[in-house]
Amino acid sequence: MAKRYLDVLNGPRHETAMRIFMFIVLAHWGEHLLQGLQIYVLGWPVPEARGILGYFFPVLISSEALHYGYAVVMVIGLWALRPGFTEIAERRWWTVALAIQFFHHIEHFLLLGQRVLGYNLFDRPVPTSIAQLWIPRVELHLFYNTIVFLPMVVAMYFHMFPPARAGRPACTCAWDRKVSPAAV
Amino acid sequence: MGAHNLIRVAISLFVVLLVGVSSLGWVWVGTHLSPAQALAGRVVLTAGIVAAGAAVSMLWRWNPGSGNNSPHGRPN
Repeated sequence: MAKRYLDVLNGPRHETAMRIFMFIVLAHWGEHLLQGLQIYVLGWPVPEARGILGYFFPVLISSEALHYGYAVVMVIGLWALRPGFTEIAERRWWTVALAIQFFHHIEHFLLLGQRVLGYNLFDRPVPTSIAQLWIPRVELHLFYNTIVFLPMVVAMYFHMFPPARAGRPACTCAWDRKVSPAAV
Repeated sequence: MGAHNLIRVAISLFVVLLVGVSSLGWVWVGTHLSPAQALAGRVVLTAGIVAAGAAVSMLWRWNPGSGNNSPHGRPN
């Protein structure tokens, strides 16, 4: 049943699934970009710069749950929608995004674990992930999100404008959505 | 302007926004963090900006329908 669901998700429903997925990705970007503006432009202290959701529901940010939840959704989305990327280049870049996001998700898993267990690694006063040993958290996750998003959007662009091939109908994600005359 | 160009412009504008925020961060870390943390922050922010430039370059170098520089490899 899961396989059938994935077949639908990567077949007739690929475009719909991609639109929903990109909405989530862009909403998450909105949060991080707003956090950046809160810190870098408005001069808010870092603990108070929590984006939009965190502004109204601070516990979502401090509990690490929202961060981890989003990271997992990203990994699942990248993995589940990967089969729909059938051309070499678009699949390559989508896979790059998946690999990086998997590591990013592990970092958030470590943060969530420390918050849940009430024990911080490396004798730090706050939950700390591996790369965070050296790199400040806000800038680190701005970087993670950037290097996941960029290959993802490159893959999506290639997917929206695939090469026309005889006998190979394009996914409905393709802008032209035309079937090659040879396939008719 | 074709659809593919409109999409590329939209993506490029968003990337410009990312680069802008990263640049603001680049300045901010220098005045608010310790030298070591500022350096580390600047390294990753710079890496992100370079990656953004590479991605936008990749998008604009490829024109759909131009078989010669298609990133999808040779047609079957």
